[in-house]
Amino acid sequence: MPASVLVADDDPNIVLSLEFLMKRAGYRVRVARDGEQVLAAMTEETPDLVLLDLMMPKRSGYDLCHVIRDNPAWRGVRVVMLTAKGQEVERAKGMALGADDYITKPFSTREVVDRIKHMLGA
Amino acid sequence: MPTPGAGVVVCLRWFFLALGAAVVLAAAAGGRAAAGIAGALVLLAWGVAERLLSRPLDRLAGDFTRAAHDDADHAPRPGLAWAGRIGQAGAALQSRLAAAEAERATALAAATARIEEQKRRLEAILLDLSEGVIVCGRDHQVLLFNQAAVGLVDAPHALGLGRPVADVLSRPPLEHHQERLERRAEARPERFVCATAGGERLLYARMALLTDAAGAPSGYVLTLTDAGGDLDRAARLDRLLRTGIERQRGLLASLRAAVETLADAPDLTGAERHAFERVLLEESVTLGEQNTALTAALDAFGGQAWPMAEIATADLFALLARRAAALAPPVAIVPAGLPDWVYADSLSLLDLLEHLCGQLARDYGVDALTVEGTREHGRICLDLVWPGTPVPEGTLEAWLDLPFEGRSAADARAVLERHGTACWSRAAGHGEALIRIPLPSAEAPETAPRARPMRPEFYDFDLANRPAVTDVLRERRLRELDFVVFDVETTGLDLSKGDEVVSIGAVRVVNGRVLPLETFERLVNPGRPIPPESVRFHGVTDADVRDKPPLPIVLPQFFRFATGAVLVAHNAAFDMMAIGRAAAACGLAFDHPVLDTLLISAWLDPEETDHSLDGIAARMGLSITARHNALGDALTEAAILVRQFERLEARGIDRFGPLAVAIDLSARLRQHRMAF
Repeated sequence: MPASVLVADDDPNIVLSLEFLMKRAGYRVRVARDGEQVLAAMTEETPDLVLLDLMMPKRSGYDLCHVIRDNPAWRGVRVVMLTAKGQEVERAKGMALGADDYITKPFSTREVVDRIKHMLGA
Repeated sequence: MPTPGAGVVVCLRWFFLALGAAVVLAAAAGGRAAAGIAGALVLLAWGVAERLLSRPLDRLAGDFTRAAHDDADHAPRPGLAWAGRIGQAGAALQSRLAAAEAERATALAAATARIEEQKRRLEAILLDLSEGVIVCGRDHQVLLFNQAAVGLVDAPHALGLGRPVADVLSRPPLEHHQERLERRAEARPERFVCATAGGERLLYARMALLTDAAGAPSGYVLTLTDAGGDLDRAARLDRLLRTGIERQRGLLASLRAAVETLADAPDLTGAERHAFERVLLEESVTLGEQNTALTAALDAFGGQAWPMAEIATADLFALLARRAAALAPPVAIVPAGLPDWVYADSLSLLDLLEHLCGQLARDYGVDALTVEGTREHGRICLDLVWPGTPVPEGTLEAWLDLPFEGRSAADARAVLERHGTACWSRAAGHGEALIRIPLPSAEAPETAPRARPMRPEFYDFDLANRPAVTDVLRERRLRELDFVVFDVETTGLDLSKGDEVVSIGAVRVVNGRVLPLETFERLVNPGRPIPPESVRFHGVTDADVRDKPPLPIVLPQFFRFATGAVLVAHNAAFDMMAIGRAAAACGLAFDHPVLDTLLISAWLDPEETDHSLDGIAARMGLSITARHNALGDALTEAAILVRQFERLEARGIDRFGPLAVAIDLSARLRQHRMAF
């Protein structure tokens, strides 16, 4: 079964591209549009990787990352933060809270796909 | 002054002279008639004395009294008969007194005029200043102020001489910056933002210390300008720019992703292609609008930023310790880490730290915190460390949104934004958790890097088998032991030929942390000249040590400081040898367990060739902001030791025994290598 990716972002225009790219790369893709939806989707089925936007309604990406890392059942989930916050200190915070990677918007689609492929070992 | 007593004496002298003459005459004449003559003579003499002396003296006394009390120019009247000379002498004294008084009056008038002139000039300057100026005593009572200051405060009538300045300005920033100024050695003024007492506006303030003739602080001068508009604008601009840029990043991301997908996927269906084209159009229009909005914001709000200043982390931690002790429930603060300098708005930063301490105490029952400044990626991270689990991000975010009781910022989040930073909580290892706040690093006010002499390396003792290394010690964990890391500076490197100690610096390391406030630092009179080539290295001159005690006085003090600890030095044999001879002379045995950061480094990185203090510090990314003297070097060594413990633990060495064996081995290998 192909690896599954959860795209978590409240901006439908970026979700359109991310969903398309992930599907084209051969992954099973689900989409969550706020913090609560992310947790619901993860509880329903644990994904292999979450593409996590930092600024989402209800729960911030940082908060979600902390929750994911705190739950032993989700230990194996890769977390890639995808964010418009460009300050170096935000990246440091993301990595400190347990993110596997931190990608700043705008990004190269090829680079995102390459990094995710590398992380999922394909 | 008239002297009635002297007058009486003079009278009596004449009286007895007359009496004596009468008696002599009486004796010569004999008989009653003679006695009668004698009596008449006595009476005559009395009468003469009365007329020529007593009355003039009385009059003179009256004149002097009148001169003294009523009319300074009143001269003794003439016709003083036998008292004439006293009258003349009195008149001379009187005129001299009058001249002196006139002189004094002239000088006083001139001085008063000068002071008046200066005061008028000062008032003119103060009046002319567009900045408000308030001069206060140490007790925050107003001593002087100008009209501009009246215009800046909320209630102009509340600003008055002798009244508390807290009637018009918020007191906490004044006390905070006064304390910082008084703690600091050099006379650099403080710059900060201060609210008016009613909280109606924010003022930029500059505070300079006033000192008395002996150099002790006697008060301060405040220079004030209205900051409200500027700061409000700065804060709004900051927020607009930040959110605007983030929004633009999101838009650019959508645009780029859509364009790249269109370009890379020629096989799109018509509907798919149409969806991406719609994204392109929408996002480019929104991006244009965003750009216009940002430009407008910059035009409207562009201006000054929040005033920041460099602060020593040690100052910050000491101030936090005082505040945290006053919290309910109180929190004990243990400052740790190397001294460093951050660039910050000290009052709001302190409010933030205090707020976090308070929340940790209330919600997590934390009653003691280690506060540490650590360097990471060129920033100084302020870490609040406690035994326990990290604070979940959601909880921390909620803490940041709680309103502040103080007035330095609306909430903790605003303080973080002001400093362009964020904070987070994570596990810190060894069952501890931390909250980290990275801050921009400020250069230390004084840094003079200089080369260190290459000291000869010695390996003439067996660390693992020193008498103090007992089986119990061998089993102790490194993190549980107390260490005193020390460094000595000497007149030269040839200890066997009489080079002597000129300074000792030491710092305590407890629970795997450097305690920067627990230090030992002494200059020592070496009893011999310090050669210029050594002064070049440690900066200690003959003049510096002239009045300092010799080593036999200092060494027992150091011995007490090091009691019960493991001694650590870089190339420890040199330092041990330097203090060894004098120690024996004062009957002290420095038979502590000893560790050596040089030998640990050689064991950890056998492939490296440079195990000098500077070399190791550079490899570890420890930028040496501490001064290059005995204490500065000891602090650097202590920081190295703590990092070495982490690396040793990673390689399975976490107890004293195995470490001592490992570095003895390393010493032998090094000795062999040096020999060939």
